[in-house]
Parts: sequence; C-alpha cells; structure tokens
Amino acid sequence: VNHPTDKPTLREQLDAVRPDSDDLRDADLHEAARAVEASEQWQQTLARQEAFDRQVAAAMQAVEVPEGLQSRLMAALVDARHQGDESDVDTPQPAEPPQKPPTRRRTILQVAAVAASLLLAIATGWLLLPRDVVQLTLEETRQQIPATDGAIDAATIARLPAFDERNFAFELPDPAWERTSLMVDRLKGLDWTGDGRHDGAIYEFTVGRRVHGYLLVVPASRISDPPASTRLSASNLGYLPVPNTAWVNPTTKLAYICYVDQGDLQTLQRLLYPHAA
Amino acid sequence: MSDGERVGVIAELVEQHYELLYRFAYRLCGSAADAEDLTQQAFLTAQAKLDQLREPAKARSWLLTIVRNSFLKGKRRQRFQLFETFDQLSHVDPDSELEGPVDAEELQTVLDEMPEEFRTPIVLYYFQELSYKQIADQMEIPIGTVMSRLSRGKSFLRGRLLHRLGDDAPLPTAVDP
Repeated sequence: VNHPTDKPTLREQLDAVRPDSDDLRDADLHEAARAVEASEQWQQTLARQEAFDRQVAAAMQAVEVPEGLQSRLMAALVDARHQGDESDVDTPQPAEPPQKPPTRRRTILQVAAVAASLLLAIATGWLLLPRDVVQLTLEETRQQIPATDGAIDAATIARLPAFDERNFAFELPDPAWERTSLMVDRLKGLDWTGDGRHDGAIYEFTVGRRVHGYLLVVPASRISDPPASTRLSASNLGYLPVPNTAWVNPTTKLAYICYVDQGDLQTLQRLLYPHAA
Repeated sequence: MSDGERVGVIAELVEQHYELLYRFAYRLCGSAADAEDLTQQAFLTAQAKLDQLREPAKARSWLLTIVRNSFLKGKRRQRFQLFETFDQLSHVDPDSELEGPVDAEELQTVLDEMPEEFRTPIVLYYFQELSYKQIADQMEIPIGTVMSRLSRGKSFLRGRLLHRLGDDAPLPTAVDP
C-alpha cells in the first residue's frame, strides 16, 4: 500500500481524475496524462473508471429529503433568533443542537391541540365571554403591536410570554396561511387590560423567502368597530404604528391585523392568494 | 444589514439549499436524524455568521463547508479506527466493472463501512464534484494524501459494490467498532 506522503502512483493519479474534466492537464497528474496518451490499455482503464465514477455520482445524489424539513429548519432559526443563539462554527454540536426544532409529530400535536381548543370554543360559544369585556377601537387595537419609531419592535415581541389561550383560541385566518412557516408554539400573548389574561395573540410568520411579518389576533368582540373586510386586502390599509391591514374571519369571529416588516403586503397577498382576481 | 434583511437572506438560503445540505449531510453521516441535525446546525451557524458571507454566489460552497466542518468536529473523537481490514478489502481488481446502476441505499451502506478519513474525500469528490486539489484545500491535507485516500476509497467502493451485486459470500466488517 502506497504511503500517503509518497509520490502518488499512476493508479492513484488516475483515480483523482474527475469524469469530463480537465484534471489530466494538471501538472500533478502529468504521469497519468502521458500514460493515457501513450497506452490504449490505460485509456481503457480510464474509460472504465469514469463509467464507474458516473454510476456512483448518480447514486450519491439520490437521497430522499424528509417531509417538513424546511419548516422545521425555519422554526429552529426563528427560535434561535429569539433566544439570541450564539452558534459557533468552531464548536458545533451536531449530535445535540442547541435548540431542537419542533418535530413533525410535535407540530401535528400542537396543531391538533389548537384545533381542539378552537372546536371547544365554538362548541361552548362566544356567549360565554364576559359581558363586561373591555373593547378597543380598531385604531387602538392596531397599535397594540409593540413598535418603536415607526418599526415593529421584534425584540420586545420576542420577550413576550407565550400566548395563554384563556380568552380565546388561536386559529390561522384561512387555509392559505398554512403555507406560512407554522410556528404555533411560538405564539406570543399580549395583555392590555391588565387582568393577567392575554387579550391578543401575536403570530410571527414568513412566506417563501420574501415576506416576514406578524399577525395580531384578537376576538372581534373585543373591537368596538371591527373591520368589515373578511380576508387580507392590501388595498385596505391602516398606517399606525406601521402599515397594516385588518379583517375578520366570519366563521371564527377572530380579527386579524397583519403587519409586514420584510417585503410588503401586496407581495404577501399575491403569494398567499395567487389565483385571486 | 437590518434584522428584516437578515431574516430574508436566511429564509432564501434555506429555501435554495436545504435539500442539498441534507443530502450531503446524509452521505457523510449515514443517519437521517443526524443529517437533519447537521443541516439545522449548519443553518444556525450560517445565521449567526451571516456577515461572513461576502459573496452570495459562494453561499452553496460556504454552507457545504459548514456542514462538513460540523460533521468532522463531531467525529473528531472517533478518529482512530482500524485500517488493516479496510486495506484488505480494498484489494480488488481495479478494472472490475459494475453492471447496471448503483443502488443509493447500498452505496450508503458501503460509505458507512468506510473510515471517515476515506469517506469524506469520497463524498466531496462524488457529491460536490470537487477536484483533488479542492479536497486537499478543504481538508487541509497534502494532495498526495488525497489521491491515496481517493484511490483506496474508490477501490473499497468498487469491491464492496461488486460483492453486493455479485456473490453473497459474507465479507468481514470493514471497520471494527
């Protein structure tokens, strides 16, 4: 067996040549190039080797990618951002990553839990909500999202507690929103009445690679003048504290206020509802 | 770069490269769970070190290098393996030919049997299509060492794949645990 530090043998030089490349022109492979040029036998050897390399290279790329991997990666990245993760390329821990993303099973369980909560809420009815519930105007509600100097304050949102679901259950606006990165376990809660229960939920989302934003979700009954729209419309904007659009899902009776800090609402609307007129 | 821009760039990197990174990681480590962890670790590192990516055109290579480094760091403690059996298995007729395509799972089984020192250059050569010079540069080892490992690795691959497609006589385990 040739020692690694010895001069490479002819065979080793040939094994270093990639199919359909100019590698044989390299000075390091000069001997192999001369042998191939001078000998039909070496030409055949190289041809057989290249055929073998192509077979292996084709098989090498054939790996099935697990379903939902992209969503889990995005969830882990959002989680790390929120926790100020200091991942270090020099000290990676591949066997035990700092924050495991939600597994598909966990995500399904969470979605199922949210769905069950929603069904329970519908079953028991919104009539069970307290009659003396505090209401805000739509303009006041729009401004409940943490914002500073005309920009959404992501750091403050990240520090908010997890949404407690005691006043209402969170639900995505409609099936189109399932295309967003689903981060149900990172729902944040806002308590603006000071009663210790969350009055609004904040859902951070990304769509494709172009849009990032937040949904503020509130029971429509908590808004004295709830929006008339029944779906996201980029032509129906509020401007404080940052441009946003609001609507109510007539089935769940949840009001949504959508804010975008990466991309814009028009792009979001086009991505979520590509077939809309 | 604003936070919003960073989020957009990372989301774009994930969308464009997550499948490639996962496949590469899987070929290196041979386990779906570990490959997913490696892929996740790579993107977490990329997110934390995004400012190092000066040229977006080099994102693919940069991310693959992060995966490989993460894999090698994790494997550092397992460096010392027995090579005698590996070399014995590497002695096959270099001109033997495979009939038909290589099965992707069989390929992984054979890769898993290889010591890491041989598997990594083989994966870089076949998966990333890197030249022996680029492999030497990435692994920080001499060119002659890369050629030797590529040659021995290919010989082992050829021998094991021929064996698996041919007679079923059992071969000894290539790497003792």
